[in-house]
Amino acid sequence: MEQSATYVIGRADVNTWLTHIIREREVIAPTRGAGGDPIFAPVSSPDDVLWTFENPLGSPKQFLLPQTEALAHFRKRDGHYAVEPAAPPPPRVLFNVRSCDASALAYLRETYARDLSDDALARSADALTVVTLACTTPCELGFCVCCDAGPFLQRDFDLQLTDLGASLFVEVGSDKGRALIALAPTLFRAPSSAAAFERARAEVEVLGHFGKETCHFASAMRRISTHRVPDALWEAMSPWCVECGGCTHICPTCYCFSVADEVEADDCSTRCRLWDSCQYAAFTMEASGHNPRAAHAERIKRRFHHKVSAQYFQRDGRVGCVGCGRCVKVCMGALDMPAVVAAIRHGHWEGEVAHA
Amino acid sequence: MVSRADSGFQDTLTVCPFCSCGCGLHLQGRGNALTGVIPSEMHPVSRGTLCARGWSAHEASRWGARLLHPQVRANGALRRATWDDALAAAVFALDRLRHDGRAVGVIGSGRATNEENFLAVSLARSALRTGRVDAALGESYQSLLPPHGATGASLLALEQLERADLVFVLEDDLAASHPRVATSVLRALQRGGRLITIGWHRTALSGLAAEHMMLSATDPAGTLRALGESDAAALLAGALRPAFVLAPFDADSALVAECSRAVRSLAATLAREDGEPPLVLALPVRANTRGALEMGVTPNALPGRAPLDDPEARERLRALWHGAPCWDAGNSAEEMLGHVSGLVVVADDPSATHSHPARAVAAMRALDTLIVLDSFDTPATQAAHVVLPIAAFGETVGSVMNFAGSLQRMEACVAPRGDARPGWQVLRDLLAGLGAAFVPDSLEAVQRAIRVAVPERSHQTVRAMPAERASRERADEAAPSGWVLRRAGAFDWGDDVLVTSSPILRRSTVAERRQHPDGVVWMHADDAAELGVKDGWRVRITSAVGEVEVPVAVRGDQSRGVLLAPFSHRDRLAAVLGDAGVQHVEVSRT
Repeated sequence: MEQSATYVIGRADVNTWLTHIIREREVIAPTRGAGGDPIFAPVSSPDDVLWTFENPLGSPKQFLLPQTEALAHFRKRDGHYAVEPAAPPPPRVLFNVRSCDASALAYLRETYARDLSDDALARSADALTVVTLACTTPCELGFCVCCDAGPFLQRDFDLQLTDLGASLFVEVGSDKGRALIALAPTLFRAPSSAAAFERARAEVEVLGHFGKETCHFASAMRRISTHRVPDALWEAMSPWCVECGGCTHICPTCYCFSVADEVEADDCSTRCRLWDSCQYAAFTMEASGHNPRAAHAERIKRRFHHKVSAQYFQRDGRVGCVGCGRCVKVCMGALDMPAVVAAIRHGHWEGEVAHA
Repeated sequence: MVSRADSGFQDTLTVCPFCSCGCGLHLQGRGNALTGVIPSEMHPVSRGTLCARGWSAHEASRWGARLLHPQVRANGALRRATWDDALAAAVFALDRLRHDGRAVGVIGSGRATNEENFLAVSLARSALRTGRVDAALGESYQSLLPPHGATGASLLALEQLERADLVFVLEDDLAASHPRVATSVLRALQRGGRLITIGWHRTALSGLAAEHMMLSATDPAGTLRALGESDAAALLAGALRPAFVLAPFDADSALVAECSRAVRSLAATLAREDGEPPLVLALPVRANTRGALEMGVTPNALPGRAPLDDPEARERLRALWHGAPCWDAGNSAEEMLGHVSGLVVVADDPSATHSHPARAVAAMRALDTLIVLDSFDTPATQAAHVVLPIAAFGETVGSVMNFAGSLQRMEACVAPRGDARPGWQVLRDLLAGLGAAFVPDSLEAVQRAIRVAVPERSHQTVRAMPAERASRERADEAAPSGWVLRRAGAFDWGDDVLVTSSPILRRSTVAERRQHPDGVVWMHADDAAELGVKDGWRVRITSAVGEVEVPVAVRGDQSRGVLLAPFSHRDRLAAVLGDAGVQHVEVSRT
């Protein structure tokens, strides 16, 4: 990667720049979805892009690792089956992604590249350019500061934008980011020292606004990694989970999947990858009928070991949670990350009900 | 709907098709194939949550064994036909039965929209002139409702439940059957509320209860009538904001009605601190079971739950249907199979919910005429004489009504597969073929007709139900000692085509069935120890009706002396249970 560069672009010019990008790529940005929910979706006009918003509940994970993804087609030709990879996604730009989500996308890329590289995800990642919009105010439920995943990033972006009001401060993180600027180079100029100062000040200021929302991840990691979390804790938690799988589906760093074949005709079928959840009872069931995680408490324990324990942090080089706060919204029970981290740190589950 | 033409991306806000909570969700697709779902934060019911079924709501329509073309049975086999030929064959068969005065029935569905169900009722009462119209699980849902007065419909039901300081739940397993309602119970507990659970066995929720009680296997209504003298009585008496949840817990409607009355009697003795009566929520199993009832899919009421002899209701319907509609009562969905020569089934498979699935399949195959409208290949379509493929969830537009009476719109995200057509159109074409006067030319016309036939807010008021059905013979209550075999539960999602069609959802139920290929009964661990059997061992169960050998699953979470037959394995115990849900039995090692 070349030495990173910085620019500013006038707020009034951003839509022009976006128009250029939309012409060349599929642009996915936060936009108003059906019924008024903000969602990540392809936009056909810069006016559809949302700039001040709550992070959409559906993360942009689906554009790197779709909920249903065709991996390969099997076609019968001349009596033999030929395997054809599914068509790769078009060149895409994820625009106005928040820092937590960009960190998560990087986590997924690294996870799927480790050991045996996953071709489908690698191709999706290659086709993807990530433009982040740094968070200058903390979101209501987020705790990215505890996970080194925001509110501003030093890595994991192709371009990082900071809203300075009349202009956007632009930090280049990669050649892909540079290529986007090259689509409308006349709109960008070198930042003044005042702009650079504003950018630095914005980061300091937002860090000062994080408070009670933080989640004390590190101390939970120490406890869980040194066998100081008794099994009884996970058992106490299990009635508070209805096994909806929402946490794993909504989590931008969760990546477990299942595989199913879609049969279109006698001579043609497609192997698809489907989102799956370690919280589902039969997720680890083996063909023999044995299930290593038959007990609900064991599945809960596994999830939080994966997200919080040091062994994965050491293996992955990053924490398995980006502090986006979505699990807090999506949980149908009471087992969101902040609540479980608190339980791990305190050694008891606060959701226990006092009996008569 | 958000649609980006060049990318093929679709995003549609719609309602979950599974249970009756009525959660909203974003259904998404690419290039006319469903690809996934996202929860809806702004939706008043789900508020950003979705249960496991909701998260897989996009799967069945895409992965299921879809019916793509009309089919007509000829020379014993179903063959592909054109729409014109298939409709003509259906109309011809129904007309012949009608002309010969032979019994015909119509089964609507909690999986169908209000518009489809209303046209099914029109088909039954006005075109076929029969009162034999019902939906599976409709009778047991009606049994949960109050006999008089308001249904307790409240669009704020869940919010009220979350503010309760005492929640009483009658369940088979609420967290599994209605997760969104279970969430509200958990929220009430987090606010300091207390919980009383009653059911056949311990559940996730019962683990959080201040009091958990086991329903008596032989006299469950008695357990509920005795609540005033039980350990739960003090909790109930001290509650300032009590709330009652009646979840589907048994398939025997008479029993359910008795139990519901017992709970409602108890609730009537309590009052909230604001003077209002306690909240009582009755939960139907399926997404649109309540809507089906409101549309008249019931043998003992007219649309709007009007009594069959209500002159104003009859007048409204005569203005719509003309001619001489049938105002008679009829058979329930389950009874119908043995009492008709011809049957029209809309969006359901009767064997999936029947208390004796094998018997239901046999009865369907024995019908003179079986016409099935559905999206999926099921035992019903395999037995049919005419198969009419209709648009599935995500392809069809219509309205549905959740447990609280909230009317919501189901939207289409992708086009129907193959030659499938919207269900309302196919029913309209059957009406036209049979010479009915009411032949709506659009979905909006159906909705206008519904507004005429079902007066506004009718779902919030109920007139007196007709005389109670005679209760079925119950097992002899004499000896408290000795074993009792009890079929537990009212429904099993693992039997439903929306689940069996979903790769992710069917996995656990398929795995469970594979683990118990010979069926299973649940036995208390102490009983097993006394009998000298271990988990997985077979026992011989003998009743006055018959005998069976079946493996046991040893558990610690049910009553002693009771063998529970889970609903998913009811067919295996049919030889011993007979027509009853409970039997006194002898149990021995094999």
